[in-house]
Amino acid sequence: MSNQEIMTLLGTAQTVWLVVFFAGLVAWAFWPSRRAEMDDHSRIPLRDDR
Amino acid sequence: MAATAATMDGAFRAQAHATPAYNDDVVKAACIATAFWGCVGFLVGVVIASQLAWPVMNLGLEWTSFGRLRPLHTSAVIFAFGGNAMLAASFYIVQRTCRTGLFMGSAGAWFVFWGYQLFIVMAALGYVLGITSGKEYAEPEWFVDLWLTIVWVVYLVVYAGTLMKREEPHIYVANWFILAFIITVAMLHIGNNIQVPVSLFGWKSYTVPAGVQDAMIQWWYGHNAVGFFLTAGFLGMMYYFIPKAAGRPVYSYRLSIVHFWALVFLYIWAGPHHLHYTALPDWAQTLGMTFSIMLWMPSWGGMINGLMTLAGAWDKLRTDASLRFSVTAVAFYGMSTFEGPMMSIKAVNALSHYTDWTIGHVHSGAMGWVGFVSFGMLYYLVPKLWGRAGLYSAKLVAWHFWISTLGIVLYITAMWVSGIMQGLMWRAYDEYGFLQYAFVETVAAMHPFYVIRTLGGLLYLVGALIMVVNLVKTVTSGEPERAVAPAAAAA
Repeated sequence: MSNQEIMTLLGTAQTVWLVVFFAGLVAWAFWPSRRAEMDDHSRIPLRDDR
Repeated sequence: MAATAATMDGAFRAQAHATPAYNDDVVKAACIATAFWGCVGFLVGVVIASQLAWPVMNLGLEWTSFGRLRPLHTSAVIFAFGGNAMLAASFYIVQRTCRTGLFMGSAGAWFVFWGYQLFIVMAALGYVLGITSGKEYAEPEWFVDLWLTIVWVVYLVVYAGTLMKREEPHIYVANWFILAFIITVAMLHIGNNIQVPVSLFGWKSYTVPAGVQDAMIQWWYGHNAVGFFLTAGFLGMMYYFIPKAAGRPVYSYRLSIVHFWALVFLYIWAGPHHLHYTALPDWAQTLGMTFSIMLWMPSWGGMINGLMTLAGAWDKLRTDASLRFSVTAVAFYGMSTFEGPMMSIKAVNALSHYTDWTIGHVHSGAMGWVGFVSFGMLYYLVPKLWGRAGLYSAKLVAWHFWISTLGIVLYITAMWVSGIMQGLMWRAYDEYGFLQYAFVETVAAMHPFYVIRTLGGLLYLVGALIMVVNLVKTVTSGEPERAVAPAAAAA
């Protein structure tokens, strides 16, 4: 394989990886069972008032 | 609702038996530096705006000429005002949300603070004396760059070290944005300043990459300075101070996670839109444009998240000064991040590039978003840090708000008209195919708008000075905060 072909392949792989990562991330963040945990995280700044 | 909050509060108090010792002295110092450098930066801005309107203001001296004062203005507002605001915000937020003091105690943070002030002074003196690398927003020469690298690495160590010794299991989202800001700025600063001094003891240096590669690296740096210094960092500020001032959690924590990753993935590719119709390959220009347009999504996602935090508590905007500034800042963020992607479209850019429209766009972001969200933070933090019951005068805050808002509106509308007119005059042909206007005719046509712009900047400066008076009065003559009775905590 030539350098050019390797670079093209890596570029494509990078794009696919980022799309998969991002889709997984959105699913992770919005997964229904994670709602309570997320709401709890959002209250972190409000628990300390000093 | 109130009962739930009280129970959660009580549970937390029981869990955290000892209140952590926070290192707040350096946060106080950074607040003072923010206000000071802000006024300096705005003042120099008014001076150079008036130089464009009335060339006599250059005073005929090399040290006070527009070319030397312009980088002084941009660096003073971005790096001195914005940078110190970020130092204050990051050191305050990371301690509160991790419930622990700073890593290395106050010593590391003090080194970062004073080292950063030294960087600002060295850079500023250099600009006035004509010592500059000539790269926009990266003008400091090699020895100043080296110093900033040392300071910034210590900043990263203090910040990341504090995150690592946190008592709170989860890292709150504001810290993600601030950490992305610190890491990316380090990467950009080093990447854009790979340079060789001409002589060992001389100040002059040249970058290793040349030609269009140098231009591309410069705007990879330049646009991500906007994306990670002026956006990611200040979004961290938004995600902490708006919920605090509103007394309610951020609208959607899940959206904030998606906001974060989308922003950091997309911003890094947007730089080529600064080089449309240049020697940069066409595919790279199109790539930059595409990613800039995709940035609409995280930008507006973030804006919605910030604004909707106020849902059900809009009345607080009438009474709470810091909140009014922060929320208006988010509205300006939404506006300028709508305008930016639009201007990155090649057909639009063909008209807008090199005109005053760009200057207006930058200022709606810098004055409206970065400035206002920082003012909101100062109005919130100063009474808290100095143990005051509240601000000295709510009336003065209202004056600051309206004067500054009017200043921004005058500034950006003047630049829209001036910039679009300038772009249209440059491309106008007569019936024989000759350019219709000489360059000097465009300059003459823009003069009234330069005067309006100067007035807008002056109003913004006046507003900031009102803030300084209010904050100084708050510290020196404000009513001390009433001591919280232990009984109240127990109840």
